Amino acid sequence: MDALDIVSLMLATGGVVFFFAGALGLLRFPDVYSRLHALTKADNLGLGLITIAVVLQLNSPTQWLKLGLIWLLVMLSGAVTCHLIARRARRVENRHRNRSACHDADS
Amino acid sequence: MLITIWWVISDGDTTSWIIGVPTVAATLWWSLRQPSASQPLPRLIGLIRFIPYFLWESLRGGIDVARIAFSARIAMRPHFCTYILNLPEGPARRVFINAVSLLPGTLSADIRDERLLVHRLRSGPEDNHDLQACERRVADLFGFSISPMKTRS
Repeated sequence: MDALDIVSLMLATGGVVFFFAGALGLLRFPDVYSRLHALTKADNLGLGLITIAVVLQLNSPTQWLKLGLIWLLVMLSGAVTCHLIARRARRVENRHRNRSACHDADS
Repeated sequence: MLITIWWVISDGDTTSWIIGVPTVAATLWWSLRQPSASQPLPRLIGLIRFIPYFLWESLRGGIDVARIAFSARIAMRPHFCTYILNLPEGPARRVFINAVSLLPGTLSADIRDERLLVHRLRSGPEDNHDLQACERRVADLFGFSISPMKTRS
């Protein structure tokens, strides 16, 4: 095991820790928005660390490009999905609030 | 460019072009039907300046949220705040909105007429200067200049 392997191992371990933190946040955080924070940020960082760890083990530049592309696409889709979920949650919440306000006015 | 991306994804495997060629053709057809870009693409010099900032903020954001997740008592005060956007409608604004979600403690939730609804895990700086800084970085990426005075909300 040379120095590169050790760096890879450390980065990959770090990545797993962040994925674990994301999952823990999903379970422990109080509402949908806070949970999204945990998932987007921690998982993005975890994937980044694992990507770097794997890149260090590969020799072919096309494979580096491929992994970089995967990271970029996952990051992009993560941020967009997160925004869409938050927006949907927010709008549904507002609708419920308006409806219950109407009910209160009726009664 | 699309062909290059497919080549990278498929490891140069020739049989994969059975799926690759229709996919590239469909994407090209779709992208040509879109209205042409009204704004310039990111500048290379801007990209070189933006990437280190973005990676560093992603790192901070991840560590920050992981620390909260691992702490015995969940110490946070989730709330919403609004931020008045300075960037014009288009690619630059979309980059900013998605970058906000990777900044420490902030997440963009909704946009309503020039206002971005931001969810924060804890109380942020008084004048949202973290968001202002990010917006300036994105403006720099695209070669815009935005007035910082308008940003107070």
